[in-house]
Amino acid sequence: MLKHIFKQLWNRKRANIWIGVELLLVFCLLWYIVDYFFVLEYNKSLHSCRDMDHTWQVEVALLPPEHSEYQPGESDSTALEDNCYRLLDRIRGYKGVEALAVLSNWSTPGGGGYYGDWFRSRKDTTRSGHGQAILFDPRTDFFKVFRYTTKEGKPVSVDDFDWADPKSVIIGNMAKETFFPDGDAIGQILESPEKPDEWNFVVKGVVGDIKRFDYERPQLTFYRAWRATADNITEEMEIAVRSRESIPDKQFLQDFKQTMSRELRVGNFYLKGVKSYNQINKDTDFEFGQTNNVRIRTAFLLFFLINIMLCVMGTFWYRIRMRRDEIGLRMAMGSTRTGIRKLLILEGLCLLAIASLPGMLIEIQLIYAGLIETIGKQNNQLVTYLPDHVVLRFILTNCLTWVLLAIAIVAAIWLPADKAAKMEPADALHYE
Amino acid sequence: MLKVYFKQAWNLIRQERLFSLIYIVGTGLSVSMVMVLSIVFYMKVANIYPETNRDRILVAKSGMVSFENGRNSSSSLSEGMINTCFASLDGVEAIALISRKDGEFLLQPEGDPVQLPVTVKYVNTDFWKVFPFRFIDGKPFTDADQQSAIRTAVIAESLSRRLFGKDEAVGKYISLNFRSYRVCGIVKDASLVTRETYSLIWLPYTLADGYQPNSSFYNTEALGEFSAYILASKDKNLADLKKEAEAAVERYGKTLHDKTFTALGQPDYYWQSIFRFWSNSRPEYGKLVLQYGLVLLILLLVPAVSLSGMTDSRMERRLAEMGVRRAFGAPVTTLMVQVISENFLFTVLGGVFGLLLSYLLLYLSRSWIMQLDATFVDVLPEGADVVFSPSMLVNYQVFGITLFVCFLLNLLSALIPAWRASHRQIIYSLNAK
Repeated sequence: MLKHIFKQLWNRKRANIWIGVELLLVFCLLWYIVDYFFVLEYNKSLHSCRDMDHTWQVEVALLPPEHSEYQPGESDSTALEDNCYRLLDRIRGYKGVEALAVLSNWSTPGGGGYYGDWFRSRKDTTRSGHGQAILFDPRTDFFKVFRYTTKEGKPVSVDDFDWADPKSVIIGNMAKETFFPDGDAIGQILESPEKPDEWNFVVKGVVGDIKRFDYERPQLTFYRAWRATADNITEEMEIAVRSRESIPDKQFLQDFKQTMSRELRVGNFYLKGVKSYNQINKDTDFEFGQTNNVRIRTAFLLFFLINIMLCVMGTFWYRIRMRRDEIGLRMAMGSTRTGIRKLLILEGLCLLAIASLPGMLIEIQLIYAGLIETIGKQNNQLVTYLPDHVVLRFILTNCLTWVLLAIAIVAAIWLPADKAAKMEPADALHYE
Repeated sequence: MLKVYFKQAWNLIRQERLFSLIYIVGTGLSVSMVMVLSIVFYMKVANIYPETNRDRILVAKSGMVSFENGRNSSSSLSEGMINTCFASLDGVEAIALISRKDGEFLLQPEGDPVQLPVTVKYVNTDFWKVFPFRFIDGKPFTDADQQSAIRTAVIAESLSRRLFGKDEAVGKYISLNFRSYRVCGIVKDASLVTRETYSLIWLPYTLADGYQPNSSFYNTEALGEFSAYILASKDKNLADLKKEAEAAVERYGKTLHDKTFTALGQPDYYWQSIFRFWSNSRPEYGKLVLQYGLVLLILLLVPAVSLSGMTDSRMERRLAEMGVRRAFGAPVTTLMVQVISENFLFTVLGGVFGLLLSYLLLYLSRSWIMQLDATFVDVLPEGADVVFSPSMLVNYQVFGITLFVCFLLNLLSALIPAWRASHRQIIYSLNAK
């Protein structure tokens, strides 16, 4: 049967060349987009030992001196700190709040800020790496608010670690494997390759890995102590809370704002706003252009698929009108209606198979030219992920592209093929 | 003759409805995608309210200072640099300064505890000359207001209506970040399409927090927080002015104490300025052209191949007619013209559909489509919406581009089939059923 179809395609090569070229073009272009989404979805599927659902950024600010309720006596540093602690206590005491954390706004989870650290292991100075520093106040439970877990999935709390030493650092699992691959990390020293004597930290614990953004890969992370003081409260302090799961997000937001607007008018502080960390993450994705990247690629994907469907539908619709006699003859010779439909659909798939071979050759050229991007790929990382295996990725993305196109083609041929199959044999033969 | 062709084509459309529909939708899809890009680009560079002088404007947004120790700093420009380089040039009508300073601005409406987030821009008095906003009431703030840093504000009509209803707003006071400003003028709203000038409140730049006359970043002299929009007078050749301004910048760059300054080819024509994003490098126009060219090519070529295929199959069915025509002496060119112009009817129908579709797509994607090419995308200000006015979408330039795209697409999708159909052997054609 296949041989027969190929022969027929060859005999009608003049008509088939257009659809062949179109399939070839679309196959390559579609593959380029499929490859992008493949890497994106793969990254998204990687586990992050952090949970941002039901977490909220509580923004407080100070009244300016021009405000009628401004109290000059409350603005010295002692009053500022005292008021801040009272304010934190009030938030902690709110019935819907499960946990509270105070952190530096350089480290907003899901936000655009980034504070980089560069460390090496003191024991083996050849082991070094760049990563993100996350700074929070160890008197509050940052790990509980964002539901950090160990690599094995066990929940962790800030209190699990010893923060007495101001040079304490907690590292992510990947950092442990990078700096201390053989043995225990606890008690080891991380130091800056530039100023090893001034800038060094003692590892006090290991937590699971997180991704900075959902579309990226897990990264090296260092959790360091940062304390809210009068100097940084106004500029740098950020308050994060986790609401109880039993309360719907919408209700929490509404109730919290309503109750706390009054409660948080402490000294010159007032509640400016509450925003969910998931929303912050979404906004950052938008600002960093990631949302647009996905939208534009989706638009092109749809454009290519609709084009190929229109092309196949148009061409086959004509083809079937031209080949009525042939179809009539087949029916007269005993071919069933399903048989006719199957024949036409197989013809379409064979065309796709033929077009995909040169298509893959073009794709290989694109790979060699370095035009294929891998989102989230970091320099000199230890772990290799599926998208790093070029051949496997090539095969998988091509299979996906093929299946996607095959579905589009079958859907497009269905209507004309159905029409052909429903033709009365006598009618069809009449054309002969 | 053309009339006969079109009549024939119209009959063909009616005879083969499904096929014609597929063909028109295919064309429309391609046209709509190209038109979305074209209209976005058009809105970015054409004279659109309030930036109706874009064709007379030169833009200098940023510069770079190189120190003797080899380090570089780059940022927006200082007031001093802008005045020294551009103010004394011949043929400059006005120079608008827009401060890059942004922050959070909250408005406290009277008698309402909920604060209103607003967009605020710090500008100079010339801003109102370079960008002719329509004043519904009142006047811009004056030079005296600007010099003495008096708290006056021009506000947008929509904001005035929201705060004061139908009452006259000029002379009233608004509270912004708990400071009170006197409203001196009300202008017709600018759309977010013109993001450079869009705002709800415009204040004299001397009011910005920490403003000091003739200050610069870290004593670089040339770097500050301003962008300059230089309006050339009507009789001045813009290209000449650009050259003179570039020369002035170059001279200025050499006069600085123990450092040099370059504006990296600025001031730009307005259309160039939309591609300038980083302050420390020039946009690579060659690469940009290549990139956009490739995208447009794909958007035209992918449908063109499929349309060619369909046209080709249609010609197959009309081979007999072609054969007869040729047997009676019709020259090849006549046949080709006929096929192509018949096809043009299909394409134009598709073009109309495509243009309408592109309006729909633009409307649906309005919150982000204007920043299609941006490296960092600005989130829309809270409560704001991008509004396209009819004149941005429906105008002869847009129609002209659509027609051109149709013409191109038609040529791409009908030329080869027409050539193939009209060059067949007559005997073969006549033999076709």
